[in-house]
Amino acid sequence: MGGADQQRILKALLVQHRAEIRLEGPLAVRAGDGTTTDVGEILEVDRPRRLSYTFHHVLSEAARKERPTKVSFNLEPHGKLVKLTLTHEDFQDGSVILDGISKGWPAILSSLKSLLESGQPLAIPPSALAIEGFEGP
Amino acid sequence: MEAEPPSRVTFELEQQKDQVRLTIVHDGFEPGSRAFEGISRGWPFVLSSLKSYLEAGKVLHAPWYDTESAQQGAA
Repeated sequence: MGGADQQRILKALLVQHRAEIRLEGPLAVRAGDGTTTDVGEILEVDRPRRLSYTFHHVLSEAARKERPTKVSFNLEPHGKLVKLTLTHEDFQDGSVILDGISKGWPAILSSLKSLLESGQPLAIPPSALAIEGFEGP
Repeated sequence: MEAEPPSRVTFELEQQKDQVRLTIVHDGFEPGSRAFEGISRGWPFVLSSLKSYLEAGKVLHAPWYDTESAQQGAA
């Protein structure tokens, strides 16, 4: 049961943030209008326990100049529950995307949980993602 | 853990259109705090459970949380 739930969460996770992840090679995250916002490379896939990839925000020039960071999802069964842990690391000092990431992930994970438990994702208000000193899409 | 000084918990609620963003800040830990380690595992679970309660009317029950709470209570 834990394994099936982990698969379900992993699948929803990928659909949720519109990642075109074939679980090998390059990946791209696109906004609703089709604009590519982030690119990366799959680093590790261990279904259904772990997924990691590099993450490089490409919308702004300042962000493009930063080195790619690393995103990891770990899924662990605990009885009837699955604990999802997201780690996003390797930001360089003074990173311009760290503030946005720090607002974006909680909103995405909250929306993912709503999707899994009630069948409806949250429509994240842009105001909830307002990023200081950063020109978003 | 009883020897550690009290830390500080702050809940901030902001209306964002038809949603509310809840932010928790738990700070004021001493370097090497044992409470900090436990808190870091505890809050995500508590908040996840809170969201399930608010949206689906039921709290989460995690065996690992019971176990850790029991161990900390006994320590």
